[in-house]
Amino acid sequence: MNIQFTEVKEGSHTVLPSFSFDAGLTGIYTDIKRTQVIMNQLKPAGYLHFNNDGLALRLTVEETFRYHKDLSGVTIPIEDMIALFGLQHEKKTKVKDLSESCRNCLSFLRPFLYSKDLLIIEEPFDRLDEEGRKVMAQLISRIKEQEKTILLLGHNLEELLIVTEDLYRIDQNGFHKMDFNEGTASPAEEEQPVIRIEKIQTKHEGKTILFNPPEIDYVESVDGSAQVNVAGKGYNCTLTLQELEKQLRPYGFYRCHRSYIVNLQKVREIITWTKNSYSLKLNDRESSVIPLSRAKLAELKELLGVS
Amino acid sequence: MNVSVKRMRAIFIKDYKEFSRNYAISTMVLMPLVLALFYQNAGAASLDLYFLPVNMTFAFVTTFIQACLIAEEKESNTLRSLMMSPASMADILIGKSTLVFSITIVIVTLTIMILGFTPANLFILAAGLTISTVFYIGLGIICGLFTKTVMEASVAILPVMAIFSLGPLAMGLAETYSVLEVLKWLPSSQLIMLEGYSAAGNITDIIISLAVIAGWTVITLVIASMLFKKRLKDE
Repeated sequence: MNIQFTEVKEGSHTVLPSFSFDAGLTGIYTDIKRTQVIMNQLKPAGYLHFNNDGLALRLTVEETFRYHKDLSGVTIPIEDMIALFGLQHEKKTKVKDLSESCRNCLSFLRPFLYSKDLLIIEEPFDRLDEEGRKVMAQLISRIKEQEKTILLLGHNLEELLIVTEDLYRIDQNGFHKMDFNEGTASPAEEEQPVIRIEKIQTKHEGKTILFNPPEIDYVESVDGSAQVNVAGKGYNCTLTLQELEKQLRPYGFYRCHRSYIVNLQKVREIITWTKNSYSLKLNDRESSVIPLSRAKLAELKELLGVS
Repeated sequence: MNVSVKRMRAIFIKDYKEFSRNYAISTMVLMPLVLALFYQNAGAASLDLYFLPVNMTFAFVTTFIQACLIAEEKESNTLRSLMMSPASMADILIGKSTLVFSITIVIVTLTIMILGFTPANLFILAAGLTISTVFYIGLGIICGLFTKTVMEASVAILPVMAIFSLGPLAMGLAETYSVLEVLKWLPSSQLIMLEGYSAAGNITDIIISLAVIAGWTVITLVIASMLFKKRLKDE
């Protein structure tokens, strides 16, 4: 479906540049302000979904499903629907007593049933626990199978990458398709295990800061430049992701996604969202969740020696 | 306009459950019954006094609960999803009114029984009460659409009570202030007069009374559905 934005200006500052593109399951990586502007523009065209919106708090989960099933006339059995939303253990709970994450999943029932051709979701994975994110990723892929257009708006790249790689970012000059195809990683040649000191040089507020590779949690590419994440903070690095990959590989780092390099020592968990979408959970301070390409899964498992 | 019994039933069941679990609203149905008990003990004699609790029931039960149901839907932002769903406007309005309609009929019957009032002609009174119920449901929808929360709705019914429930009482002053003669045409006054006419057996007057009440009802329903349509567009 073709989506058009008209330009919105604030003084001389362009908040939203005009743009038109074909969207399928598309993410827009942007800030809160632009999200608002976009939502206002698309309001007449599609179904807007906000979290935790529009639930009858005094009904139980099962009653809510029955009500919306009768109202929408869908033919999916109630039990299956409840399971799809991961709420089979909360059937008799009143909506107001549900955990926030479960409630946010439940509020996705309405867009799931009532959205027409275009569904716009603000911060799809906001305020959801891991179980909830899994449910949400599956629900979004179910809606996608119905040939509907889904537009995700968010300021958390890792979360958007759970469901789609078709991403745009917005700045003053326009929309930019985010490129995760900056050359396929060349197979790194086997290097001899030689002891050597290799510091990673970063810049932070004009200072040059050196990190030992094992300190680094992961490296991500933000707008084409590499950002080194150490203890929950990001530092800019002048090297490209490819150069960093080469340099860090001997220290147990792995290019798990086109724009991410992860320190394998810190990987705690491989999260399976859907059959073909994965993330890695680290045991760093923030318990960061970073995307894992489908193509890299097999190799990574081999590297980690897991099956 | 496609009307689906299944969808109306779904809305009815949902409203019933929400209503019965929200004690702030559901205990309101007891109020007219208590009022009726007082009047019965005080020994109401005139038609005006017999019908005061009945007209109060219409304001406090019919209009109030209907307004709350609509306002609650707005408060939790679910009106938009109702609009997005395949349910038509008729589905929504009829589904939402059925609950209040049944509650009103039960409470009004109980009130009249407690008062120990014997109508001159049960059929004519029943017709008058039924049409009145629909009128007050329409008023409730209008109140609900003008308010945003349940709390605001409980304030919005005050003018309804002052004008429609207490209006007939002010008719006693009509001899001093002839302006108050207009109050005669209120549906609540007409309901009282209807009972008087049916006791006297005056067919023409009965038909005029019923027609006046029906006229109010039709106008209210038209306004309510126009407002409802407009609100849905704004959402």
